[in-house]
Amino acid sequence: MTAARIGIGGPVGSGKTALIERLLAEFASIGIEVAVITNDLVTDEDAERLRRGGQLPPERILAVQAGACPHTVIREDPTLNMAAADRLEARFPQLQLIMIESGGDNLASTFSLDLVDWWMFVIDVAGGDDIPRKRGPGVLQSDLLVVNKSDIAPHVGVDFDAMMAEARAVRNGRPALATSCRQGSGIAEVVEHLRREVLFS
Amino acid sequence: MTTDLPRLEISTILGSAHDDLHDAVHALEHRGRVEWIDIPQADAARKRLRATTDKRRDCLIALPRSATLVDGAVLHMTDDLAVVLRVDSGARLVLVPHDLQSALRLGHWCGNLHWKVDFGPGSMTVLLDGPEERYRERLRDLETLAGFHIREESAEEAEA
Repeated sequence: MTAARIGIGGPVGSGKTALIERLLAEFASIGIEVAVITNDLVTDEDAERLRRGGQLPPERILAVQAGACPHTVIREDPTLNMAAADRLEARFPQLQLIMIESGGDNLASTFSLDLVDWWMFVIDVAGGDDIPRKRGPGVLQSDLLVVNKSDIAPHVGVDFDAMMAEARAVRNGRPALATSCRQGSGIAEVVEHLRREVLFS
Repeated sequence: MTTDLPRLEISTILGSAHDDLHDAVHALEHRGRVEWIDIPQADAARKRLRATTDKRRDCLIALPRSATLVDGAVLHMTDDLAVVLRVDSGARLVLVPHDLQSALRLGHWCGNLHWKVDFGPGSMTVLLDGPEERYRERLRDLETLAGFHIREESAEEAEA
């Protein structure tokens, strides 16, 4: 069976890389073979951060530089990311999961399903509790919406329960989960969701 | 919600109910032994998905990257059961520009909105991935800048 390919998108600073770091720890504990492709504008910043973290062998972390708006390489022409995923699968045939992190983008960002089998969109409370009701395509169309930094909601004047209720309402039945990557809460639920919907394990 | 029917793991497309497996599927259909999976066109690009048949059987689909989910794809076939995919071709809007300048403006506009389009003779078809009114709202913004109209789809266009 080929490795599942999932996308992780969302605005700058919402916690995409932090979520991947948390997920890597969880997947390691249950023996899921993983690789990661990061996307940045003109640097390898996120890939270097993950390599420094040491949760994966460095050769399992590839970086793609978009050179332009991040969504161009995950939607309009995902060739660079597809080629990177193919390289990882050829080199590591035991892979079960390839996580493709988009560069930080806006609420209109979506993944092409030619590139990924499934994708999630990560927003955070500090970006404003009005993000769900702005109904961006990323919020509406993603397979899973993750609302991160739940721990700091009181400090940024956000009624977290109301924000989650709005998020679920605008998504018309599609799932939304709350996380705090800093504290580690909600991560197990994301993993459970991924195992059920994508990994089939 | 699924039932306690045995789960199926599907890793290849066996053929087409419209073509090479037509007779076999048809025979099973007479015995009520065909189950259907319905997905929207937008999901047909996925290589891996969890889907449910019309009999609420759980199906774990994980295809090779080279495979493509198409309408009529036979995903499971035994002497007693076929599982066949139905792809809803989905809603579309056919846009007809009135002159060259409008065509350029229309193409640029839809491209900026990242809409999925198909090109036809003298027209451009937008594949809708959300409520139609959301698309019509954006097109209303364009009406003062370009001459165009929205044409009803012909039977051939809808079939395609």
